[in-house]
Amino acid sequence: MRVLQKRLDQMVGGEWGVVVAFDGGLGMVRRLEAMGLRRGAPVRLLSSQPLGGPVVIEVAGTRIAIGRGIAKRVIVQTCSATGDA
Amino acid sequence: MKVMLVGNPNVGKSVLFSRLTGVNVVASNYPGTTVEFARGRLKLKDETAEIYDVPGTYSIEPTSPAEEVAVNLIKEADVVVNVLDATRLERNLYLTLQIAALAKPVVLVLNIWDEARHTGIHIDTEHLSRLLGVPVVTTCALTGEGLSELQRAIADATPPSIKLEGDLWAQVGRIVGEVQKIERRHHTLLERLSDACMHPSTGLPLAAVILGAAFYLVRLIGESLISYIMEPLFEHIWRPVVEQLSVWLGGSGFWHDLLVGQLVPTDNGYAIDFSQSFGLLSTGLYVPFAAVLPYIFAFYLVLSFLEDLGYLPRLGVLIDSFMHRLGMHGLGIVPMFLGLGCNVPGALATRVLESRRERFIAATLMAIAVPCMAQLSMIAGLAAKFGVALLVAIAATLLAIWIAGGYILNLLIPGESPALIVEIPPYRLPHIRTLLKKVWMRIRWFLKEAVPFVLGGVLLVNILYSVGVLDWVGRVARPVVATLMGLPERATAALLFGFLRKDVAVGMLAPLNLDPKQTLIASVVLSVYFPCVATFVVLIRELGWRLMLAATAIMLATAVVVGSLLNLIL
Repeated sequence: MRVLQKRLDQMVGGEWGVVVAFDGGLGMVRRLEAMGLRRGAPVRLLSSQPLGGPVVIEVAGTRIAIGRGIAKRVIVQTCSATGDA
Repeated sequence: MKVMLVGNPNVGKSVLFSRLTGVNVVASNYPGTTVEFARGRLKLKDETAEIYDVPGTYSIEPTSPAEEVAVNLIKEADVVVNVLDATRLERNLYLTLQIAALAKPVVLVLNIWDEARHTGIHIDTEHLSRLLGVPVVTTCALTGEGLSELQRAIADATPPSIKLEGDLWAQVGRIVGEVQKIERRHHTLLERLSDACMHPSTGLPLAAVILGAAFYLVRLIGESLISYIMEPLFEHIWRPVVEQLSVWLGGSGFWHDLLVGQLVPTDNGYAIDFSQSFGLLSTGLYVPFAAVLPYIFAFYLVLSFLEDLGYLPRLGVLIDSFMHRLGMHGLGIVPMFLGLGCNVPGALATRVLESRRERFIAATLMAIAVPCMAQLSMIAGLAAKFGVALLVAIAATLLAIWIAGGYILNLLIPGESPALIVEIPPYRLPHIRTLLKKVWMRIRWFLKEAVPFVLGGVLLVNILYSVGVLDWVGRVARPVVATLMGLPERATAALLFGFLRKDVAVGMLAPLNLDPKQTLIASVVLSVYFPCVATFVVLIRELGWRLMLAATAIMLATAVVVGSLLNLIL
C-alpha cells in the first residue's frame, strides 16, 4: 500500500480518494465546493465516459457528473496497492 | 409577507409548492426543472402569505441564470423555508449555513423523509433544530405528509442562532456527525440500473433501447387513441351534426365554407373531409382534438415518466462529449426533449445552460430542427399514406440538420462550451398520481394556449383565401417555393401560416396532394424556417432582439438551402 497523488480523471472505477488540491480558478472551485467537492472530501469514481466524456463521482452522499476538463484540475490522494509511483 | 421555498436543485420544492398552494407547477426528478419562480398564496394562522417556488441553487453565489433568479429572490424573503433532501443532508446543509448568514427567519424542511427512513438514514431532528436554532419539520411532499406541521412552523420561523465559524464545510461535517446515523445496506435494483445506464459499455445500448421504446410507445399510444377513440367519435357522432349543418347552410357559400368548409370529392359524391375541408367546425376541431391531442398526451405521458424516473441527466452524461461538438454540454439535451413536446417550454429550459453562447446555440438548434408534437402528429398524419419509411426519412433529415447546424454554429461562434457539472439524481419510481397530474397540466396548457390559435388560424386562412391574399403571396414567393424547392404555389400559404401554428400549416398541405418527395421537403422546410409566434416571443425574451434576429436569419437561410438541396438531390 502506498499513498498516491493523481488527478481525479486518472482514478479507476470504484476507487476511493480524498481531494487534496484544485488547479483552477476561484469560480470553478466555488462551484465544485457548493456541490460538496471540496478539499478533504472523500470521493469515489463510479465511471468515466469514453472519448474524453465526463466522469461520474460520488461525493458528500450524492452522485455528480463533471466534465473531463474540470476533473483534470482536481487532485486527489488515493491509497492504492497497485499504481506505479 | 413573502415566504420563499429555497434549497438545492431537485429536493422537491416544486412538489411542496403545488401541495401548499394548490397552484400547479411542473416538477421532475432532475436538477433544474424550475428555471423561473412561481408564486402562490398560503393561508397561515392569522394572515395570508405570498409563497414563492424558487429555482434550486447550491450556493448563494449564482452560476447560471436560473440560480441568479433564485439568489435575487432569497434577498427579498421575509421567511426562508429551506427545503433539504433528507437523503443528502451533508451536501444540502452547506446552503443552509450560507442562508443562516443572511439572518432571516428560517424554517428547515427535511423532505423525501420517507426515502431517508427506508434507506436506513436516521436524523435526530430535535438535535438539529437545537444546533441551528430554527424549527425543523420532516415532510414527504409527494404524499403530503408533514405539510400541516410545516404551515404551523412557518409562523414560528426564527433567525438561526448558530454561530458560523470559518470553514462552512467543516462545520457542516460536525453537524452531520452529531445528528445523522447511516445503516450500511445493499444496493437496490434501481441503483444497479442507474450504474448500468452510465457505464461506458452498457450506457449507450441502454439509451438506444430506452429512446427506441419511448418513441415506439408514443406512436403506439397516439395512433391507438386516434383510430380507436377520436376517429370514431368524429366519424360517428360529430359527422352527422356537421353534415346537417352543411345541408342547412345550402352546401356552399361564405358561411358554409367558414363553418363547415369545402366539400371534397369522394367515391360517392361530395362530402366533408375532416382533414381537408378547413371549416371551423370540421378541420378546426379535428386538428387539435383528433390529430394532435392524442399525440400530445402520449408524448407527455412518456416524457413525464422519463423525467420523474430521473433518466434525462444520465442521457446528458452519456452524450456529453458528442454535444460539446455541437457547442453545448450534455444537459443541452433537456431543452431538446422538452421542445419535442412544445418549443415554448423548450426555449425556457435553455436556462439550464450556463453561458450565453450555449443558450443561443441550443435555442437556435431547437427552433430549427426540433418540431413540436403538434406539428409532428400532423406530419405523421400527412405522411402516413406513404408508409413509415417517409416519416423516418423526415426525422432523419431533421436530425442531420440538427447535427450539422450545431457543428457549424460551434465552429463559427467564438468561445467554448463550459464543462458539464451536474448532480445525478437517484432513480425514483414515478409516483403515478403526481405523474398524471403533470401530464394533465401540460395538456391543459395545450388546450388553453393552442386550441384558440388553431381555431383563429383556420378562420384567418378562410378569410385570407376568400379575399385572394394567399394566392397573391403564392405568386410572389414562386421563385423560392416553387422553383427552388419544387413545391406547389399554394404551399407558400402553409409556410406563411407556420408562423401562427405549425399544426394548422401542415393541415393546409393536406388538400394539395403532395407526392412523397414534396411531403418530405414541405415538412422539413416548415420545421426549419421559423418558430411559431409563441416560441418567437419567448425566444426574444430569452435571447434579446439582436441574437433573435441572428437566429432568424440562420433559420431562413437553412430553410432555403435545405429545401433547395433536397429538391436537387431527391
